[in-house]
Amino acid sequence: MNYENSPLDEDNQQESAELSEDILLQIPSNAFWTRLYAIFYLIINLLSFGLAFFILLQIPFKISVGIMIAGAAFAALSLWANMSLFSYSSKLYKVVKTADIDIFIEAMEQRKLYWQICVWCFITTVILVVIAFFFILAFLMSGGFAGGLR
Amino acid sequence: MENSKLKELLGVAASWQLIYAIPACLVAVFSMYSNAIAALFSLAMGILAISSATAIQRYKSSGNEQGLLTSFKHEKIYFILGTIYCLLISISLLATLLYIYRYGIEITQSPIKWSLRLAIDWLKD
Repeated sequence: MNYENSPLDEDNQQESAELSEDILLQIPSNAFWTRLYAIFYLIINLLSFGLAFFILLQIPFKISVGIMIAGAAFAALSLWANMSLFSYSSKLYKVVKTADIDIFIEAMEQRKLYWQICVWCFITTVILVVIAFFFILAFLMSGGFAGGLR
Repeated sequence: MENSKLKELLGVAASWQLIYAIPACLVAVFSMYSNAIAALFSLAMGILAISSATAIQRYKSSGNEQGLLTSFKHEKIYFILGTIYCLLISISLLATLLYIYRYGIEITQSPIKWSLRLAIDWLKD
């Protein structure tokens, strides 16, 4: 007799696909720290934008355009990473309330998204550093910064 | 807890985590000279991310739930360190912004000198 697709087997699968007590106990603190990290990460993003804006205003237009394009991509990515972290922590809080494995899967999808964006942020940072290096080098070679930027 | 979709998802997430964390650790090691504190934080966070990802992969291959639990624990420490790191960077960025607002840009000075000059001037005021 084949029990593979019997209703009894499906019931067992359903039962086993539940979050264990240990995981449910661990999740609230993870949600809390993820949320706190996301808040500080957002503060950093906003301060960085402010700082970048201040600096870019005082650098010649040709140089600032190159940095701005890469910077805008980085800013968009880091804000997206931030949003995914907020969403991740919200879903974790929801898991604590409902213990629903589907919401847990949704939370894990946000977690995957966060790490994916981190990879793209890393790549953008490398590109940004390379662009900034060449633009600033060109600026210095053409006699820039001689009298300071005041 | 047995769920093939969840395992698959966690496995993919762990792969992305590793793709990010390994180069991040290398960059942290190479930037140790220029900014030791930031580099140490980045290195510690990178190691925790790697450890969390490998624990997930252990869970994926063996099905032992302890791997998932370990991953969550390491991830929590990652976010705790991240929060402290972000706090320090926020203070530094705020000091830099205030300095530029007050004195303009001086690229020859380091942020520490900026912060010190700002603090001294405030004390004098």
